Amino acid sequence: MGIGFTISLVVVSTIREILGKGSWFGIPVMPESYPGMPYLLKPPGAFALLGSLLGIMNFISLKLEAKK
Amino acid sequence: MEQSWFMFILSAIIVNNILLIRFLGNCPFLGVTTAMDSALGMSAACIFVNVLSGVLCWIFQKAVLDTLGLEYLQTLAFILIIAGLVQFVEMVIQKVSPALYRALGIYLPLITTNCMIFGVAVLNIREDYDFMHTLVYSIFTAVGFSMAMVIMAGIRERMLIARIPKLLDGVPLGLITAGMIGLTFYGLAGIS
Repeated sequence: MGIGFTISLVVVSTIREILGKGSWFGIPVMPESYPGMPYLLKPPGAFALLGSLLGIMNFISLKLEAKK
Repeated sequence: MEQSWFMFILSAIIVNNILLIRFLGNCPFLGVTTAMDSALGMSAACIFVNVLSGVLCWIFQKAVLDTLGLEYLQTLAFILIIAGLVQFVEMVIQKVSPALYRALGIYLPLITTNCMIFGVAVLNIREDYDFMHTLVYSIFTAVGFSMAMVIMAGIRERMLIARIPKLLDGVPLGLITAGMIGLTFYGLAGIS
């Protein structure tokens, strides 16, 4: 459980940092001209992102079930 | 306090809404907003406990912790006060009004672990409010909490009769909705 929590925190923070600020662990990874997405850095952005990730996970598990 | 009372109240309810801007107390926000009456019951219980605990914690901080120099016990003392208070409120409601007790059900003891109650108690001390500000802030923060709960419950009740893609049904769409409501409240952030 603890490992799963860590993994989900890392995934969410990675997406939020790269898309929101254009950096990863403080190192810039996007081109200079990338404007950033301030919405993702605010708490509501995390909610919307988490919901979307859950949707993607559901999508994958539904696909896997359909294959069986 | 140079802020007027009107702006203070407006800030507590909308601009710094405890649920949608500060993001405290989100478990009931996502957990019990699937139906309007449970959301209303939770809101009523939260208003009641929030006001009592905010005021009691403030009095305890000023009367005991500050005078004895025990500020480092704040977290422990506040948690004890809130837990004891919820237990006490539960017993009183059970004796005085069994109907209300049944209506609130499990949500009454769950308030002990609501982040908002403890958050408001600590914010009152951290912002250095006097007694009247503590009282008003506790009341109207809980009102803002109720407002967000009612908005969310209304939207989710409407969702029940909407056609939703299967992969977003339930929690994912609830989270996305919370994000969208939070975004609309951020639009009011410049007022205060």
